[in-house]
Amino acid sequence: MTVRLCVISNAGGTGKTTVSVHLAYALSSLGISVALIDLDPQGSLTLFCGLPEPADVEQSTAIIFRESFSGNWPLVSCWRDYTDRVQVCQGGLMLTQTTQEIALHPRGAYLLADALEDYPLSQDVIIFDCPATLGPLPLVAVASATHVLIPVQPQPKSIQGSAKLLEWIYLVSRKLRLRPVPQILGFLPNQYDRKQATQRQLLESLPAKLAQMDLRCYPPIRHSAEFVNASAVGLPLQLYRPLHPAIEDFQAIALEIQALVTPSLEDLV
Amino acid sequence: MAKHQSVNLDNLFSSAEQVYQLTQAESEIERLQAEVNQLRATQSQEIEPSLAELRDQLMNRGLPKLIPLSRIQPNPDQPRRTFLPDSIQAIANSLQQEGQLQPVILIEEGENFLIFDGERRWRGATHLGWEHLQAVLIPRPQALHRQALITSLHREDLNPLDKAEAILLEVATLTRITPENLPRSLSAVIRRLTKQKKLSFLSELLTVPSAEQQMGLDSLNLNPSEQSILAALLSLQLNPASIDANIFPMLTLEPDLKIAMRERGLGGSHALLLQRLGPNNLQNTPEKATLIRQQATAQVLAQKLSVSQTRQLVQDFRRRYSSTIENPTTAVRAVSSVSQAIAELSPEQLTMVETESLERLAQLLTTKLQDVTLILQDRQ
Repeated sequence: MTVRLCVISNAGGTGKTTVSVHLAYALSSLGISVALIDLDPQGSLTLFCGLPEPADVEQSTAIIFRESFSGNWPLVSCWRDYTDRVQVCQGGLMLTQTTQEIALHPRGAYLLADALEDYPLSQDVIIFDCPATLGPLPLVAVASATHVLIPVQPQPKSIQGSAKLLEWIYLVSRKLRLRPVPQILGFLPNQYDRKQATQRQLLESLPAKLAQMDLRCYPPIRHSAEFVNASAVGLPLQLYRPLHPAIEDFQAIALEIQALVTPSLEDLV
Repeated sequence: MAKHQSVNLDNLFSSAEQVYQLTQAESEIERLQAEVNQLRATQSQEIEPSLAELRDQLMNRGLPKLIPLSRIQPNPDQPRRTFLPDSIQAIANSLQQEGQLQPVILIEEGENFLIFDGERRWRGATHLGWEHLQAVLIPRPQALHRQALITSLHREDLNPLDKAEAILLEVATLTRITPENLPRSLSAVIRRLTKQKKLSFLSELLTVPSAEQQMGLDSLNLNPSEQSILAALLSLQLNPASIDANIFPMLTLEPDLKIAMRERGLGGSHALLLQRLGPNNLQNTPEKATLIRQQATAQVLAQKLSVSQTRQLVQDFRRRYSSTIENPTTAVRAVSSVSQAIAELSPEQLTMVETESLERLAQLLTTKLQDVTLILQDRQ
């Protein structure tokens, strides 16, 4: 099946774009093709992928929401010296206007889902990189997602924010009568510093709490300054420092998504 | 020193968990309901286990209620349309001898209830002249939204602007009054009740059962729309007076203040104070007033001013910006004081000052005289 993964958080700095980018590369290494769709007016994905700014609306995610969109997805290849399996649909400031267009359109929340239904993408996994608010853009992402992943920082403020986000997703799924309801995979802790006692304690108790809502707490991505350095040159850590220990931290979530894309033999029988 | 206090995850997730459980329960109910309908359609005999499971799920949500037979209606979608008199008599006998063993399952439909399961028991009970049946209720689809809304409306950390919009929407839906008119109607009735010294009576209704709320409202001589607004607020466990005084005013905030609340964490009381920096108070154009207000807002946020500091700042801004600007009263006063000053200017005084000053005075008077002449010509 095609996995449409919404990477979402209602606070800034939780590592949405970092997770989207590294997950995309990890999946491509497993032979899976990925489309990264940037729904963030900040357009951080452009930076993280080492791409030039989109020239105009036609070249950005904003075009998908226009009446004139006819399936010409503005995808550009990313890290093309290393892989041909990652495509990016770039966000940016043009999306601020999209927010209003979504609000005014009769199909509002369903516009992205409509576009994907009318003009399906060929990639195995589509990742939506959401902005750090709970406005119309994350709404269209949730409404078209099959799965949701919530990056968090192992800090009380971030965890509190994500608790509210969960509530919001449950209510939105219900309100928009999404069928099937997007499955929330769980929380992916980021920038984990195991030397900090508060972070350790938090990550010890979080999995049990999330299990009560049938959610997973994935093994944390460790903190490293190299993530920032890698983003500065527009590469994922896997390409920037191929031997860096943090790379293996993405393995668990990548394998889980791989399993969703390629059903096991048991499922087929 | 006390050991590092770790975060209480139970608190952080309590609301999310509640919504999760409600959602789960509701989709389970939906699933079972669909299953029973399908089994009925295929005339399957295996229907009883599914019905029992559905009944259990519904009992988890709330204890069975006594529902008056007069408000129960047969379900037009019920596939079995014929009920033999014998079978009704049999069920009536059983009800009479053993009482009602299991609650019937009803679907809420406005004021009334449709029978999902238990039509024969309903007919039997009617036959016996009973007044009530024990029933569990399948919630309306909006029920989750409402229940979740009530949970979140009472959460203290909800931004008052979001709260205002959520409450307005909910009350408008419940009362079918257009959202634009609702806050004004509420204000009017609160003002009147204040004058009649009945406001505390209204607040007391918050804690009484809904039947008494109804009677209480009936005693207040309200018009129908006022009564429905107050009833809706009470049903959400909200105090109408406090909504009128503290929450609905958020709705009239200028757009820049709403944005500052949502995106930059400006407090609700701060925003209401800053709202006073409007075109009327500042005696200025709306554009200029917005600029002044934004400047003040930026200062409140940057210096993290308290409510009383903000009040002071707003007063300062008003003084600073409105003093330079004319209004009819100050203009009249200015003209009369200048006229008086000129009249009082004696030739002796004039001869005592330097030529330079006199020249400046002459020039000023000449230019002003031109202005005055032009205005007078216009008026003729």
